[in-house]
Amino acid sequence: MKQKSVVSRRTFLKGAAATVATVSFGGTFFDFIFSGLSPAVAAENSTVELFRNACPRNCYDTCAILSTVQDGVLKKVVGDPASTYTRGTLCAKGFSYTRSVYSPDRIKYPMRQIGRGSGNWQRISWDEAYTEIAQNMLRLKREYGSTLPICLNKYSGNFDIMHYGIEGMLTSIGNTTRATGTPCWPAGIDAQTFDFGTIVCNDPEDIVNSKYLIIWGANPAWCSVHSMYFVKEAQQRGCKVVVIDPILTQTASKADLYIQIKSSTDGALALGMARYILDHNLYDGEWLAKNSKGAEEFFSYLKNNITLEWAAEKTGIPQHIIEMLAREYATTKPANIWIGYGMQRHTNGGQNVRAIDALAAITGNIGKSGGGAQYAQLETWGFKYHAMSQSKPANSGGKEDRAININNFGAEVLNAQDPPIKMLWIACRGPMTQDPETAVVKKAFEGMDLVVTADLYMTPTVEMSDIVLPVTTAFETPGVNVSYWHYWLSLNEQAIKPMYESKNDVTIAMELSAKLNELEQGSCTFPTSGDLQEWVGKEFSEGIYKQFGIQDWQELKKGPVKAKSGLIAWQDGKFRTPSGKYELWSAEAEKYGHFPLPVYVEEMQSTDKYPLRCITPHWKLSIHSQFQNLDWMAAVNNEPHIEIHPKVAAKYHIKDNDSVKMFNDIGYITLPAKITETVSPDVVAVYETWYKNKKFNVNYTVKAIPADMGKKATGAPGIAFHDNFVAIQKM
Amino acid sequence: MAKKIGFLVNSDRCIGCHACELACKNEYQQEPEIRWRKVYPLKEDSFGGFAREFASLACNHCEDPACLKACPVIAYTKREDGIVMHSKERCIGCKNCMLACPYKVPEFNQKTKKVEKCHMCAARQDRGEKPACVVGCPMEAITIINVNDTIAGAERSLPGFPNAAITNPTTRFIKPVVGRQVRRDA
Amino acid sequence: MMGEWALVLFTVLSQMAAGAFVSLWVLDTVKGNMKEATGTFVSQGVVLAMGLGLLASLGHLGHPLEAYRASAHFGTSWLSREVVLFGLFFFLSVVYYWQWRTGGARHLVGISGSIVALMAVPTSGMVYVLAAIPAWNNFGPVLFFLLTAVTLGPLYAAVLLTIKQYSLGKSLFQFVIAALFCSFMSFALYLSLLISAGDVTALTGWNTMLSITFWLRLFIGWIAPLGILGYVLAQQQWHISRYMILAFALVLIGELLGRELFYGSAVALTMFGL
Repeated sequence: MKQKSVVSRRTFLKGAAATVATVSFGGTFFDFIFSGLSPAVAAENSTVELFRNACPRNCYDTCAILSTVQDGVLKKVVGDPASTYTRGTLCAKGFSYTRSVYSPDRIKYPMRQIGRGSGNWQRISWDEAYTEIAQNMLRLKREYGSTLPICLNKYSGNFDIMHYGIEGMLTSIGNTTRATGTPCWPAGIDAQTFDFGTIVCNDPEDIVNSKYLIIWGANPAWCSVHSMYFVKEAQQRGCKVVVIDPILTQTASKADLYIQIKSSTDGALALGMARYILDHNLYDGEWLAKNSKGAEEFFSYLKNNITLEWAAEKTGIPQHIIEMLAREYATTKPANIWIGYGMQRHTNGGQNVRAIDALAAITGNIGKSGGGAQYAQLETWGFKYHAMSQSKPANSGGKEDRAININNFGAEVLNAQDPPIKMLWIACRGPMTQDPETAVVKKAFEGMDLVVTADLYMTPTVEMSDIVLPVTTAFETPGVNVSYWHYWLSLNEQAIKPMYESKNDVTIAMELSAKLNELEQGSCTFPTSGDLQEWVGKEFSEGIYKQFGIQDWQELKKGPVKAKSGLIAWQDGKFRTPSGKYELWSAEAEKYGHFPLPVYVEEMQSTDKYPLRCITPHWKLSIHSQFQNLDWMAAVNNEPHIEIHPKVAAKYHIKDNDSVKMFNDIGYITLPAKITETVSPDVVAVYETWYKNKKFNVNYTVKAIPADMGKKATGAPGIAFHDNFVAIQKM
Repeated sequence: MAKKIGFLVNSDRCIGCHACELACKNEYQQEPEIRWRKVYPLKEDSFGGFAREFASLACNHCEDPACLKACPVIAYTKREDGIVMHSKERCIGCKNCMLACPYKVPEFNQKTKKVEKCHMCAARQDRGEKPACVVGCPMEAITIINVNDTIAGAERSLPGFPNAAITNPTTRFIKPVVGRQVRRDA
Repeated sequence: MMGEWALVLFTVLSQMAAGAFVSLWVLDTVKGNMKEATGTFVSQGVVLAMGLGLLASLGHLGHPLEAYRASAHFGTSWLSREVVLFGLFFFLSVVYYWQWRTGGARHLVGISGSIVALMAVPTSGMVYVLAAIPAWNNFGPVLFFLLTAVTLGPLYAAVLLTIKQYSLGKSLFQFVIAALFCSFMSFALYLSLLISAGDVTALTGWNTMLSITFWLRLFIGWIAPLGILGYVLAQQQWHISRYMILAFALVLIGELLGRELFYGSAVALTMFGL
């Protein structure tokens, strides 16, 4: 028999309704009581401090930074609005700085690799590190009679002024071998040295006053983002912006006129324009008569050797465009040219810069607000270089420092004799990722008794070292910074304590000196102790104080300061050439084995075997081997690629994202393709940087071909990075 | 009419430098894989000629937010000024909003197991400051506008942007203008 | 959307439970000769399936312990509505089981449960009808979820009934064959509509056609069970019980594969092609 139902119909219906009601509304009600939208409030007793920092990277912008530190932890960084160049903003790299400081990949303590390249790293104490380093240094001195077997390779990883103490450290142990020169920009420096006497540029904030601006072989949208604000501002005030570049870059995408020149023929374009300017009497004869030397010879050269037809053929630019460009440049006042470093990374790079300088000279655009031929300036770098200025110990052996070419580092290390190079000190540098001919560099490392690298992360260079010494970031140590572009001086305060066991390179120098003197009294003159803030203070010179209008460097704690004078290059007309004039005809150039006039020197050609030119510009998310390795950056992009024109891609049956092997006689790389119309059919583009945990390094294909100039001002010619000829095939 | 704010993304001024993306991450010290703001490359032939152009997008703070409607725990609310706020406290990590949003805005945080998204720096704006992305952009390419105002050149969409009619985003765009180009294509 | 095992299990199991509940109620109402022990067993199976499905659904949440709050937005959120309706259905299926077990009045519970079941399944489908996902922004999700309920549900009920030696007539299986056939045809129609729509929608279509999962699902979930059921029913003397479990297993696997395909192959609107 059926049991009486436990649940009656009515009860059931009521229950069902109640369930729905309770579940729906009760949930919501319960919800509102126990949760809310109130934002998190900082705890009552936490301290928040603001510090001033400066970005010490190799970058035009050298930003003034304001750092927020809460309870001793760096919480965020912003651009300092006090600098009218930084204008309160940073770049993608700058904003990722907290991730650089607190990256889980930071090297925490000194380590010793058992078997170079093996990956078998053991933790050691600083004392153990110093002991092994000092013992090796002293042993080499005994065996070879001097400290010349010890070689320093240090450059642009950190441009803080006090970091020249690293050079000072090497000086303080005796005569040593130095990787001399600079990879990036020396051809242009020499060119401007021959023309003007040295490199000086206008204050970039002055760009807003230009009415015609040619950005020639530079990509500030990637490499100097703050400048782009001024470029845009100039455009809004009626300036026509022309970008000349073999690649349709980010900057070129913002131009009023983009001209896709054939790589390395920039001098031909400039000379073609000059010929037009000459023919149509658009030159400033008065300025030339008063300020230049060699105008007559230059015009004669143009008349006899340069035609517009030739220029059009050479550059791949239609003649009427060259004529239009010349006419516009010569007749719009004031007209400005920004000469990029990428443009001079060719075998004829220096010569091409001279030709472009000449354009500015013959049109009377030099020494004027809104005009000029901008490249760089070192006017704001007149520090004491106190940390660098050490003396050599008595009886350390050898006569003087030995210079080897930083731009052919691997080969020159291997070839060094009497004495050979047996020890490397690498700081602020990454030869295993940044140098051409990676295989040769690796071989050089392999031949060393000891390789010491001071660095933040386990880079490929550190991987080929014996000892790695962890260093501080700019936030963990004091310093002072200026830019080779803008005219601001920024103090770098210590915002937080050094992470883990990291040390400032100058601290390392002091402690190493103590160890050396402990093992052999008098073997090192570097001070064995000192307060880093005092060290910073000692970098300041009277010249700097006068230039920036401050009495004491502590004033910089209130904010960055701009130079009070010299903001328009060559405004006083006092060129620093032997003749005191702008030298179209330069005897100095001749002395260094170049043509005295800015004539055209033939560009390097591709071959049938390697028909494509691989241009390797800087990447937008990194400064060389720094930043792309950070996880924040990897989240934006974590894959290198090769940019290929659709016609070329079709020829090799390559589709977007296909794996491509790019190779020549010295090496190869494999990476995914990006099909794009922003490169021309004779060019492929691969952006140089270091990706953590990826085998990518385009320098396996790059030869150490010297650029034409650089020896005069920097001690060695530059590298023709962009004269890299390759072939490609689909994998 | 009450002020209704939205992002004005000026892709003509934008140089695709990603400073805005990182400025946002820097402000909130986010997990590496979380990107509240993303800089999207646009197809290179979108504006005549060829060019590298970008659209920087975070949350579009839609007039008719799909996330808000889809959320089963009422974790989303729309403020009077238009900002669509997500409450981490209320979220249960069901990811329904991630499905519903046409712009792939809400992101799932693997650590907290909840969703999160751009809130137009509401707390900063309430203090009278501008959002971190607006302040951080070197080109001043992102600004906060009153959506009810008429802004010369402002458009509701760029080529490749999902149909604005779906949720009526408050984001407005200024199209890039590509100049004259002399290319060697032979 | 990556392979969401939690949602695959929840949707398939809940739809199976819903279809089985309705099948049980229909058989009970139309035939009227079911023993209480049989009905208890089957309704217990429904509770089990629905309960497992609900448990599985928690696996999809970042914070499963707060799932109770998910009913809060009934006004605009299809997900809230799904939570409420399936919650209610689960409650009703427990009561139905209890009524079978205690011999209580089950007619009202049965009809309410069936109505709620038939409302709950389409609600699940509506969660996915989103403008943001063009391939789902149509009749597809609701129809396919309903078809799962009417193919898998009756088969599940049939397995449970067969275990209790309840003798089944042909009509249930004729119904399942028809439902399977509809399922197959409508999916074919759906795929061709997707592919012809172009853009991201077509991508979904192609992703589906090109995946091995699709071909497995086609054979295991439609062709094989249709073949078996058709063959058996065509016999004069038909002994379905031999093939019962097999047919059910095939359709279940097919539905699981199909649901995995559903979640895995949808392509959302792109942001500038990305």
